[in-house]
Order: sequence, then structure tokens, then C-alpha cells
Amino acid sequence: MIGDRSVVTIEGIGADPVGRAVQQSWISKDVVQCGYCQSGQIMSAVALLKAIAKPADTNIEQSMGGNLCRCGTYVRIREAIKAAAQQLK
Amino acid sequence: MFTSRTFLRVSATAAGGFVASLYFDDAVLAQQSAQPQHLNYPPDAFIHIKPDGQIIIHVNRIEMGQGVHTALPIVLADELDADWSQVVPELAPAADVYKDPVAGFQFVGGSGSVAHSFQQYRELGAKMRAMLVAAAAERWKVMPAQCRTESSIVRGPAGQTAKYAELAERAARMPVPASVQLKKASEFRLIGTRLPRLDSRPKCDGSQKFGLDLDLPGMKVAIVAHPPTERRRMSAAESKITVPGFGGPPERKSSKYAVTLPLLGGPVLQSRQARCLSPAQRNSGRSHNALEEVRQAAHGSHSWPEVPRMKDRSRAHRLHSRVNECGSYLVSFTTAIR
Repeated sequence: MIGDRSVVTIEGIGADPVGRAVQQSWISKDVVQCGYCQSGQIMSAVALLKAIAKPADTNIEQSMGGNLCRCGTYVRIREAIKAAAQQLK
Repeated sequence: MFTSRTFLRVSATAAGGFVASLYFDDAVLAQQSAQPQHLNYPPDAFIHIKPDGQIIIHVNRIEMGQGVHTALPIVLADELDADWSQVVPELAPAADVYKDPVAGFQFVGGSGSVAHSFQQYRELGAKMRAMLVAAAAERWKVMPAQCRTESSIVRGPAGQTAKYAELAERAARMPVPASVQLKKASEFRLIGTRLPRLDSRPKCDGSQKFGLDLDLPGMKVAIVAHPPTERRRMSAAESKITVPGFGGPPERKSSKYAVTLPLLGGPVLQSRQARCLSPAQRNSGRSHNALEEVRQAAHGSHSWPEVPRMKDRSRAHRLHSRVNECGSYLVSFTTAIR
């Protein structure tokens, strides 16, 4: 809690069904490389899937645009988001 | 002289049982001989077979996304006939035994991790396997050649079975074989197959520790403030800048990387109060904010000019400009050091 708002971080996102699905999808798609940006990528992906259950490529590009990945894992991130969306259906 | 020393570490664990680890020290001795480099000397690393069956493989190179904390464990675990689901990679500490067997120093780079350590990690796995088999053979009073191994289990000729974990302590007392038979390529179970990365989970649940998470007693945090243009020197006015709450003024000789600063052209700010920052505070963006404050103080609130495009600039400068824009100052350091 910060003030009267609850805050969920990467450490706690696994307790959320969408968060758990995204983490599992990230692992099964071998998304991570160095891992430095992936906490943020996962949090953004969870926020996206909560807003749009079945995101199109343009939704993914727009909503994930704030997270940069120096390893260039974008292709697998997109796959993993779609796989998580499929699994949550 | 090539002799083989084996250190044994058997220590009680909090959970009960023993951790038996093997430490092949041939490389250290080899390096004391006349030809310190480019020798095909035997492996040197730690393998920890824990009482719960977990096999910890120390990798002598940093994992930074290239996959080496999966690749080298695959190589070792294949020769060891380990249960892959029980393999956990761990970064080896800085020590002579973890030097690159080809280059002769401990490093990662040049796309050489697997090429340089393939034989090393195979032999390490095969020797550990031979010692586990020897321990089982001794227990069952059979010949080692009568035993087979699979998935972290030794099987004897009369159907006996023993898990690696229960043999580890005894195996650690067995002599290290001077040479060992390696598998034929057709016998590989793991090498050449596509396996999921072993470092995914900690990188997906926030438990992974990065360099930024390091916190030592009295540690100070230095921040590089990059100049807005290439090859720019710190001005007299800039050298007097202080940032409230972040110590200062900037020092150009406050780190061992001082030699790189003229090239980078930026001040290093060393914080007197940085020791008060916990890793959590640093991760909260405090240091980023401080960097922004430095930028504001040094260059005003106007936006930075575009990096000029110079015909003759070196690759290092090109890369530096790019990472500069991303704010990844560590890469700049490395680049500048080269």
C-alpha cells in the first residue's frame, strides 16, 4: 500500500491469474535473455491483457512501447502475450 | 608437471545431510608450470550434489542473455548423466580455477564460452560420473564397468540402484580419474537438443539479482553524467556543480575508471550520502532522479542537442552515442576501456 492505493510488483504478480499466466507463458516461450527489462515487460503485458483480453499486434506494440529490450526479445514477447491470452480464454 | 589435486568439501547443511563438492585443481598447478596458456588441461569447477538431489553446476562465465548458464550445464549434465530437472546453474566466483581454459583469464566474451569450455565441462561431468560409479561399485562390491547410469541414478548388475545424492559423499572421497572416457556424439541425450533456459524463472518473478542489486557495507554509488556532445570536456563551471542530497562536487578521479573519463568527457559524481541508499531505494529510481538533476544543473532545462554526426568517429564513439541515449552508462565504460 502506498497511501490508499495498493501496488503490485513483479514479485507479487504471480498471485494474480493473469500474472501467473503471463509468467508461465514467458517461461514456456523462452522469452528472457539478460532479463533486465523483463520485470517491466511482464507488468506491462499483464496490464495489457487486463484491458484487452485478445490483443492484436497493434495493441501489443502500442501498449508495450514503454519497455525497451536491448536483447531484442520483442518477437517472443509478442508470441508469449498471445499464448497467455489464448490460455486465459 | 601435471598432477591432480582434489579438494573435498563436505559440510553439514541446515536441512541435514551433506554437501559433497569436488574441486579439480589441475588448472592451478598447470598454470604454475612454464606454459601458462593454451593448454588442454583438465576441468576445474565445482559440482555440488545436494542431499535433495539438486545438482548445482558452477558456470565460470556471467549469464547476460547469451544462454551460457544453460549451455554449459547441458554439456556437463550430459556427461554426468544427471537428471536435467534437478540441475541448477550458479555463477562461479572469481578464482583461478574458473579462468577460461583457452584464454587463461576469467572473462566472458567473444562468443567463445561453449567453444572454449566444451571439453572442460564434458570432462568435469564424466569424471564426477566415474567417481559416483566407483562409489556405488564399492558399496555393491562389483566392478565399475558393470554399472550403468541414467538420470542421476547408478544401476548395478543385480538390479541395485543408488541415487547420486546418496553416493555424493562417498564419491567425493574417490580418486579423481586422470583420464576418462567421454560419450560418443550418438550417445548425447542433452547436447544438441533444444532445452528451455534455466534462468527464466528468477527473471520472471523478480528474484533474479543483478549487478545493480549489489550492496556492500559503506559502498558508494557513482553516477556518470554524460555530456550532450561527443568528446566534450567538463567545464570549470560544471566541475563545481553539486546536487542537493547527492553529495558532490563531481570528481574526475574518483573511480578506477578515471582513465576513461577524458574520453567520456563527463563528470563522475560520487555521493557522500550514497551509503545511505539501500538497494531498494536505488531501484526506486532515486539514482535516476539524481542523474536527471545533474543533467538539469549542468545543461539547464533545455533539451540536449542532437549528437553531431562526424565522419571520422570511431566505432567506440558510435556505440557510446547510442548507449548514451539509452542511458546505459556501464556499456559506455566497457567500450571506452577498450
